[in-house]
Amino acid sequence: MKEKIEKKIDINITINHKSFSVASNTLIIDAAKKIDIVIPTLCHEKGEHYTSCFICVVYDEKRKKLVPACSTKLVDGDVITTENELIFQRRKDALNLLLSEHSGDCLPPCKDHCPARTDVQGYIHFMKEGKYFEATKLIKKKLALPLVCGTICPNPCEKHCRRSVIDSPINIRGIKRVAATLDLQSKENHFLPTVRSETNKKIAIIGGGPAGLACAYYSRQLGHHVEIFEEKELLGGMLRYGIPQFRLPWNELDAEINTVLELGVLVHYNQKWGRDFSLLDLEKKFDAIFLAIGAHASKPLEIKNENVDGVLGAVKFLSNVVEGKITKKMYQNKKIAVLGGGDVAMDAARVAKRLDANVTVIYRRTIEEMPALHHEREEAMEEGIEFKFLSAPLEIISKKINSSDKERATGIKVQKMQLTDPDAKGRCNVTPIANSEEILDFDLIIPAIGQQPDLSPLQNPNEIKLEITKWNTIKYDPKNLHITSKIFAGGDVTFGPDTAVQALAEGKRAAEQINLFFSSPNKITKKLKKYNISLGSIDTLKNNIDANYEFKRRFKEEQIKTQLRQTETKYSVNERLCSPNSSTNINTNNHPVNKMMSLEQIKAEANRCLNCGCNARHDCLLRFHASTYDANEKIYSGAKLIHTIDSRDPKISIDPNKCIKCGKCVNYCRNERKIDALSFVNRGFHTFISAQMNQPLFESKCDYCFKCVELCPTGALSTSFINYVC
Amino acid sequence: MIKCKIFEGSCGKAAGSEILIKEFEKFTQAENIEKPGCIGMCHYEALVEVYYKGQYTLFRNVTEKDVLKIITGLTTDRGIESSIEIKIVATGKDSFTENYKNISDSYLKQQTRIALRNIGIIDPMSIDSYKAKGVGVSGYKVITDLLKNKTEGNEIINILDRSGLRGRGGAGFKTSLKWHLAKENKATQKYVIINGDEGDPGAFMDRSLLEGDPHSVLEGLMIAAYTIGANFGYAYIRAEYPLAIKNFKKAIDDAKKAKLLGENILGSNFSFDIKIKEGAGAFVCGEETALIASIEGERGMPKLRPPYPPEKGLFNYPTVINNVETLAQIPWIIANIEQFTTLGTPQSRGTKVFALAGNITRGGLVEIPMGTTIRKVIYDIGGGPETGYKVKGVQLGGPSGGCLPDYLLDTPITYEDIQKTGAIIGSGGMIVFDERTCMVDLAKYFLDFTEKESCGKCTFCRIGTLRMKEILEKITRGYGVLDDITKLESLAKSIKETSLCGLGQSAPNPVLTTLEYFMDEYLEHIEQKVCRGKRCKALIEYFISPDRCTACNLCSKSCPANAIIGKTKEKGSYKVQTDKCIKCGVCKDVCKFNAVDILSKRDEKSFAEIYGKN
Repeated sequence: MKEKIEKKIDINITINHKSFSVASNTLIIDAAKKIDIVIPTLCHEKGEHYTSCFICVVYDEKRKKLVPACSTKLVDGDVITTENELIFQRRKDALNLLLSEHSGDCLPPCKDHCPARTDVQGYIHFMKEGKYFEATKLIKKKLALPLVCGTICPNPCEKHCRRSVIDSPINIRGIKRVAATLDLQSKENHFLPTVRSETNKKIAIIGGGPAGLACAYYSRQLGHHVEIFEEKELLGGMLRYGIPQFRLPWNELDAEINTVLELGVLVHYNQKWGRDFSLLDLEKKFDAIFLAIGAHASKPLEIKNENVDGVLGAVKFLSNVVEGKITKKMYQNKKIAVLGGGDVAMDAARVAKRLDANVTVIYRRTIEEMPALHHEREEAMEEGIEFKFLSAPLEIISKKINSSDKERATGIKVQKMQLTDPDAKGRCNVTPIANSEEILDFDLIIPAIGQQPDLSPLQNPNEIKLEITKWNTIKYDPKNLHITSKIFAGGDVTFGPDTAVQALAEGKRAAEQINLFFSSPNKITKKLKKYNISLGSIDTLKNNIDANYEFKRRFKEEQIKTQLRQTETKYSVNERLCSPNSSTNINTNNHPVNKMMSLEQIKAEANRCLNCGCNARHDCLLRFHASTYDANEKIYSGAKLIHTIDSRDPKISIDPNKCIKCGKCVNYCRNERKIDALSFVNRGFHTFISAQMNQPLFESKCDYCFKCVELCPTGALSTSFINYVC
Repeated sequence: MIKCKIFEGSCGKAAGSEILIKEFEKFTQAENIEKPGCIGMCHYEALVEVYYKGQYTLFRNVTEKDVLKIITGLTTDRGIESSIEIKIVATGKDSFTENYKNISDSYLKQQTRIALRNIGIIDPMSIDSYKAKGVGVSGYKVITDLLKNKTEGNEIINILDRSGLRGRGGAGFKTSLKWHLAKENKATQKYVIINGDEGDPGAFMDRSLLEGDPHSVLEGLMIAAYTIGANFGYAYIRAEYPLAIKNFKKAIDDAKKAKLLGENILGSNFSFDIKIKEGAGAFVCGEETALIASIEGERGMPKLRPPYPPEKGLFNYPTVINNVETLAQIPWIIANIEQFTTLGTPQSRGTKVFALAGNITRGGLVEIPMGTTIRKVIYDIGGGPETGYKVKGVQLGGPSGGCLPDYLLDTPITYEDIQKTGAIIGSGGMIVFDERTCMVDLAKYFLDFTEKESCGKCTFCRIGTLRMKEILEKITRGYGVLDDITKLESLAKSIKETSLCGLGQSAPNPVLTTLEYFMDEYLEHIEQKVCRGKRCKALIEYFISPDRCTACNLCSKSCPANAIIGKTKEKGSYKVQTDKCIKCGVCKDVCKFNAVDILSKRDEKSFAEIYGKN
């Protein structure tokens, strides 16, 4: 009886100097909620308390000690402090310790290493079930032109794919290509993002390349009015004028660009910055300007005679071919040299080959050091392009033609080089071999040693003054892409020549930043840096025996069996070089290099995915609090227990490696549901959660209420069918 | 006629008492052999008291072969052989164990035995023996009187309050207060529980009591139940104590037969029954909330207190949980309250049993009045360190306790004084160590224990203790850096402040006290990579002194790793191959000429000197 009466009595308490009254026996955490103080907790849920995580500690001023807020009941006159340095330190320490036994990847490394942060794991999951629409929808949240990336991306994601620890990385690019292609092939049913109502804000985008198109795509979705100013006759920038059609067919490119334009983008063709308009003009008419002119000027070779006729920068050469200024007739059976070993050099050489010329690539180091992608290099070799390694150009040999003043290149003087011993970093340099010069005859010399933006319009005295870096790019704030007043910049014009995916990513960020600029022009919002835990670098996992063993232990045996990587079918050299439609309006042979993967291949490939990224990362409480308290798993690093992820049950998968032993699931299942499907096994540090008696969950009494998954503060319990928000 | 007493606790059995009983049965009838529990003189096991013709003789370290010699020595004219003579502790006209103040051996003489009063005197398997021979008070007299006089519970609580008795299990909570809280509670059902989940390594007083004097524990529990109004009790005894469980079970059965348990005991309104619950070996189940969870069939994990068990305990009913030792003292205290109040200090009344162990001449169970200094226990009762060594310090309170240096040996043993030093009395473990001990290694040992015994509930205890152990491991392997000490301190503080139960709150104590009193040893490990106690294998090397070695070849033959090579009978030729040596120390143990030295690995100077000689 006494107890019952007591419960009704209100007690007076003080929390953070605020005095108020609550019912007696109220928990501190609930009392604090009444005055809008949220005390962090990982293990507490309504009802029976368990008290394990100890990040809810608060200071009891009367007893002069820390007490757990989630289970301490208040008595009359209690004085509680919920925030001070000691409390912060203890909470942080608790998180540091929890993280030190927590293991897994918050982000899948593929997503983490994608410049656009595409949810690779998510769309691979959709493609496993053939859901190309959903996959495209998911990709397009981050990437405006998935087919472009699916076709030509150098896929930095694949270098970090965890699957390569077991055999070889997932063919991520190939899967994306199929998703985007199938979506485009569905014509009117293809994915179309929703466009918000018009905001009446106007954005001018200078340059219709990947960065500009991406900015247009996402700005339109936000409801802004978008106008693109394109120098050339067609949109695409480097995608059209730099990348040969046999690698990125125009019909595909056009279809994809159309998905941007159909959102309602106004395009002004043949409008060149500096010639047809200035930034000043645009500033008057528009609320924001996005400068994305790319890097289309070739870098000078800085050797003698390089400005004579017959020397043509690689980018210029490629665009001239596209524009029909260079045709097959001009160089049939002529000798063309390409200087350099990068991707652009490969493209130039292969286009030159398709002009039926004899092509030689001259590179100052060896095949090992070539920066070009391996498959590009191999395909170039297959197509009969000659390679001359360890040769550095010294000067262009030229002579006067037709007694005019103009000189024309006839050849190139090269010097033989030799590799030095590896330096401290293990990299080999080259040194010239004395008296080894030789002269090689060529009709056309294409330097392909890099590009830079053409910033000549800035020299106009009437133009807005913008700062230029020493790399001849535009200086901007890489955090918000902002330059000055209304002007933003992104893509190759700011960071120099880079990949398409990089430019697409920056275009999207520009759209976000411009949108932010519209809502609060003077405020730069600072995002909380999110904590991410990782299993380690791919090199560590591959080479460190312990790390490798522990990594493999996480997976079921069938998961870590070698499964062949599926690849696109390459066409034979003959097919590639003899295009049936070579005589049409296209100037060279443009037979595609390869055929995309079949749906069977996609399924097999998607099945290889290890689903490294944590399904719970978006609502992971541990990650959230770790970010807030700046906790880190390395402070108290030590032994971690590695368990095999229990994915035997088709609906709920249990990953004990991520469990922080908060007990929410076990207690709920036992006390509320009276089912006992889950239990703790072992004691102390060796405690882990498991389905009862370590049987598969479907053999227990589990009736799949999924409350445990909902309660789990981390990704230890998750639904096996992943609910990707798209 | 020969009568004899063979002390048959678990320790006695381990020393061969069962074989001795069979041997003695050849010379006398079985009923003439008494089998009391362990009297606590562990260093003398197996201990045998023989009565022949009015003369009692106490023999120590008796083996199977000695029995015949003892019998012939006592019963024939030939007299006792010299090999047996040295095993005589005392002879006299009284039984020594029953009147130990008469023994010249100071080990028992200097003790004041209240909890241990009956052990070694009564036959634990006989209720009549307890009733007849009970020291200070006859067995079951107290409970019988209470029932007969219909004494009010408050009166009993008042007596306990006067006695100032504090729980002997470790925390030292006032027993009268605990009972009072439970008594005041008006719940319909109440429980009493014996906490016999003794888990501290080295402590065994509870086991000894349950084995050697189960009835006094049972009587204590009945008094508790009568006082608070409970009619059901549990005896939570760890399963690793089979003899204790067997003896206690017998005590319950006998008590039931004697109508001391059951409905309306001795015609009163008081009914009481008890059940034994065997603990599965989790250390933390000695913590009362975890113990309750264990009895309830839950996973043995502690809960936040308050509510304390006297308010809300077993199955949510008020519950009094008392330690075995506390309960064993209660009948005596109620009968001899005036005498009890003269013992100990005002804050810490009465006596406490300690399990004396370590590098000490005489180890075993020691019961002394509170307020006695540690030095007195070690030197006067324990006989000081082994010859040739100096006491470096003492570890009190088991894995939850702390290590005190030699200059604190004059600290009186009271709850307050010990707590001030950073150690605790705990359940009464007292481990003496000399210069051969490495303090970092010792701290690691205790932390290893608590880390393994952590239930895994609280973050700090579950992971923090392991991380601390890992840091200590790193230091003992010679990879420590100064920052590790800061980390240890910060972790220790966090664990102490933010753990639910006593295990976590006290787990860092061994590290904190060694850091406080033996910081120089930590620094030596970290900065000079030297282990003073020559315990840390990574920091030492074994070396055979060519001067002392007699080339007997024994070490070489004993070495499990075949790391010692040399030519037989060629002096100075024996060497330890350091790359093969696993540092097990067998060579040093077997060498009869003390020719094996342990050197610090990093001590290049001593190495150069010695190797220079060769």
